[in-house]
Amino acid sequence: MLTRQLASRFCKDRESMRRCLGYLRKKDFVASAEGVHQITDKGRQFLAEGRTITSGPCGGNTTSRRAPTLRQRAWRVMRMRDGFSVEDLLGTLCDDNEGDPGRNLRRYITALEAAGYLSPFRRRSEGGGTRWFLRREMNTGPEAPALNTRAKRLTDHNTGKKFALGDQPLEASHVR
Amino acid sequence: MRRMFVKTENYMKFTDGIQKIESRGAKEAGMMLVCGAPGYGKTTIVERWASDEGALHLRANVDWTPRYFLTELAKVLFAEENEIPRGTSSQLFEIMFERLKGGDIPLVIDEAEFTLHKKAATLEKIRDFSDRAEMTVVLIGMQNIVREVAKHGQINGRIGHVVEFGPATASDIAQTCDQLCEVRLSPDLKAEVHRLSGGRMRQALNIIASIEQVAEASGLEEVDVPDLDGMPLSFDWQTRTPSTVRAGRRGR
Ligand SMILES: Nc1ncnc2c1ncn2[C@@H]1O[C@H](COP(=O)(O)OP(=O)(O)OP(=O)(O)O)[C@@H](O)[C@H]1O
Ligand SMILES: [Mg+2]
Repeated sequence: MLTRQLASRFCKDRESMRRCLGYLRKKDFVASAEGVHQITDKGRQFLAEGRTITSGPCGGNTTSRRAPTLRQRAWRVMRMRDGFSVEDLLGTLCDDNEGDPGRNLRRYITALEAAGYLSPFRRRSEGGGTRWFLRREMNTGPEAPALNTRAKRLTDHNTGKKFALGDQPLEASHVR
Repeated sequence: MRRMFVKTENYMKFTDGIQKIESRGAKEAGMMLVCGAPGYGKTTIVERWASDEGALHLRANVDWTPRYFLTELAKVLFAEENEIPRGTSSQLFEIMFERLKGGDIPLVIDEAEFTLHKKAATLEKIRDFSDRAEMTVVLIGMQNIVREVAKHGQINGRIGHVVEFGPATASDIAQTCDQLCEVRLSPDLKAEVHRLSGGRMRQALNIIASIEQVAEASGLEEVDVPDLDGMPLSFDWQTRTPSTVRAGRRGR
């Protein structure tokens, strides 16, 4: 299989898939030639014994142990909650104000709303901020839709769908 | 007011508990119970952990049955697939068991008292996953959930650890003031926030917001107890009276 196919099969970006394959190659579980990868007999035997790799860059199976980003963690909270505001996300996820996480989250939310993932509630939160909810049919899976701010493109690795976000500024404030 | 997560003593207790559960041997109990009064921060702290870990997270509700639970779990577990598996309860269980076997993905159930209906039938299902798939399960409930779960011997034996959340300590609240409040508070006022909040994070946040309003209105950069003497900063819903700041309590 190709790196790209594996990446999409495991809902990973290609870079982390490449790192993971490199690790499996070192262990002789996978052989690769010209970007095509195949499981080895040793790898097959390892699987047949029902064993799992418990350390290394790929973690237990193919889940990368790299710390998830703020947006990834925010996506996870969106999936857990019936509704949330930017303040809720900050109060749950951020230990400091380093790098203006509020701005980062507002951009992400604006993009998710534009792509149809989020809808706003009519009523505001106690602190006065807008609250959103993740629409049921848009709870597409564990991978956070990836926002490329410069290209104004949102890519959902769960479904493979891409959204062009048009011309509206992604920092548009949510004063309604 | 700034908004941030505060690493309170309850948070430390919780992460210690998780470590105990996750380092257990294969045959040991894999369920953890988190309990405590409303507003102590159970939901916030466990959501924080669940979002770091990518845990599955469900909130039980009043009409949960084993079937309802299995359907909700299938929805989050198979979200990225075009089709959510259907079938009898035992078919659903087996399909999800296959996916969860090995215990890489923990499961959180908030408002877990709702799994205790009908002889805890739903909690029995959850216990099945925990035991057979060897996965970590975190159950969140009010104080009396410990007693309620204890009535079901089978399940109770699978609770490896209980974390009881207490009220925020004086140092928790001082830290909360330092992190969140945009004006400086005197040590006495931080102690007063602690007293008025009753150690409830929700209350503490409301009080800090009120103090900021007062500070803004009177142009103060640092606020001390006398600046707020007699002002109602929180409301006691049980006695239906506002609690006010009390000066002259120095040297406690
Ligand atoms: N560690 C924390 N850091 C920052 N804010 C917190 C923290 N813990 C709690 N809070 C704030 O306090 C509020 C109440 O906390 P939370 O809802 O987590 O309590 P709870 O114990 O789950 O209460 P209930 O029993 O009512 O469900 C939250 O909305 C959040 O704003
Ligand atoms: Mg709660």
